[in-house]
Amino acid sequence: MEWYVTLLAGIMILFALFLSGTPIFLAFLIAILTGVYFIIGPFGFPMFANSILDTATTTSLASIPLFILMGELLFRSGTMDVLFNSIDKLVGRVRGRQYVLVVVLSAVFGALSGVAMAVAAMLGRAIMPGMVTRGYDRDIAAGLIIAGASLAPIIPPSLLAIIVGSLADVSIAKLLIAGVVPGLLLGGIFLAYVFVRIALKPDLAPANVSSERGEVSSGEMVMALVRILPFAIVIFSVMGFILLGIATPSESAATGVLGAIVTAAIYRNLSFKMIWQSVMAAITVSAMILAIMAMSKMFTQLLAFTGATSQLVDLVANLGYGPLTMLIIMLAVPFLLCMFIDTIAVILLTIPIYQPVVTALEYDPVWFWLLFLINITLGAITPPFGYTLFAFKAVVPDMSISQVYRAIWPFVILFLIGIVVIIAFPAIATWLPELVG
Amino acid sequence: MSRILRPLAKAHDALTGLGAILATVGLMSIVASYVYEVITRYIFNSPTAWASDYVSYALAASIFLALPQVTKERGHVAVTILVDIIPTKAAGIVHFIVSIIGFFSLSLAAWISLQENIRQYTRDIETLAMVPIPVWWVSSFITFGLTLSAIYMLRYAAPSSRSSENFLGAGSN
Repeated sequence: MEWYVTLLAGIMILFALFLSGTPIFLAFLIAILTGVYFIIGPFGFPMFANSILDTATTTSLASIPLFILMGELLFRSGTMDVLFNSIDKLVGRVRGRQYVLVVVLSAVFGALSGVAMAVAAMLGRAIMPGMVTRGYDRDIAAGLIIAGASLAPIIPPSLLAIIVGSLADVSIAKLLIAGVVPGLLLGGIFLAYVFVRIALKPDLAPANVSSERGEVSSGEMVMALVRILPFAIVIFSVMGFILLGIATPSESAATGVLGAIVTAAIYRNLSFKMIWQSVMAAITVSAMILAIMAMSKMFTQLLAFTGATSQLVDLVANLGYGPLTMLIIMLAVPFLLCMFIDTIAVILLTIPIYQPVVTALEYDPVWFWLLFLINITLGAITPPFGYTLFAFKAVVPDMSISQVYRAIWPFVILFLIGIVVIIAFPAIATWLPELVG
Repeated sequence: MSRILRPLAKAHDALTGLGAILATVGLMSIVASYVYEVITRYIFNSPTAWASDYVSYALAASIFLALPQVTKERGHVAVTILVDIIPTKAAGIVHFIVSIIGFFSLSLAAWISLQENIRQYTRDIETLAMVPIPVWWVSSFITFGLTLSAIYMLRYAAPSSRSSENFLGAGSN
């Protein structure tokens, strides 16, 4: 059988299983068992068992449960409320200040949790009703919350960056750090857009800024700043340790957990029960993610075994398109897929195919995989099936899904502008990782 | 449920709960090992020989000890967009088929894993690590997780276990 028939058949089987509601880890398992049987034969089954073991014992993947645990500890201990209240006090009395608050909180919560859906649900529940009551434009508020939440997988620590880094065999530390500047750039683009909209149409934000936030004395501002300081322990024990070369990304995830425990203790919100519940929640969520990764590892080996990998690289190399056209095609595919199927499934499906192509095209791996990461994040907020949209919709029941769709489109375009800027100026993504070495 | 099946289901649930508790302890031990490693390496300039290997073993064990709990709670990610919009009866049929296929696939995977465990045990195969241990000590957790998850799939195929909610997955990412 020709390699492309095998490849297409495999992808079609996976898609059919995904759309039938089969859990993703099970869909990969079914497709791979079928693939091994028909391509290699029953003698290939031990290879499958060993591929599960190889993935499950990959040390770098330990950072997934550890970062999830760090986020769980911070959320369950109520320390996020402290952060929320303090940042609210610190954001000045500018017109549209709640929009600014959303972007700042998204960036900070994103840095502490790394999961877009969680941040979208949390901000949707905590901020959205108050913004609408105060007279903020509902569409901008909704779009900004969803887009802001999508900075979470880009600003480190990011679970998706770890998954992409480990599968694409690119430095996880570099990929994590590479997200800092693009994440801030996108946040800046969102804010600039909001201020331009307010300047053109002032009634998009309430005129009476003083009614939103009472007079905050300089003493209260200092106190708000002091109350935020313990979070520096968490951020330093993760990013600081990586940047200073004290710890690997996985080790820094563990020190981040310790930092989260210390932070919770400083706020007097630490209890054994809270820790136990956080660890229990983290390991079940992680088992779900890592089971998918463990099951799908054999997909890469099957691609190589059928010759699909090398044939695909030859095909791409002989297409005759320039690097920019190829880049656009390679980014368009996962973007479209993410509109319909799960982000992790898209990552697991495309990376084994893309990795040799990226090498053949001689793209900077950190730059390309960061673009890939931003792109799949964008796919998760693009209608009709972006999952972050559904997470937001679930906590804002008075908005219809079509209203959510309408709200997000301007921010999808802003994301695309951000991607174009990073393509045009690769240093935005590569400068910081190169600086660190 | 018959008198024979009910105690078996209870034992299955109890074993799953025990697995989840052990997985939780496993994750705590990963945090402790890494923090200890960073302290001994950076402050005392005396890195351990075992921390990295231990984390890899504990990670594999924790994932597959927790897997049955995820399956029990129907916590796996699934794309439920189409299943959610088709009629309930049709969705029930799809769920039944998927759970039966899931049972057979997971059972086959568990059997394959068990054969590997036996091969690793009989041939005395050890991990390639600074601190080598018999591979089956780690890989047997995979068999445990797949077997217990397969049984949940079978239990979910029973009409009494079907719910109008998402049947097998959480429908999110």
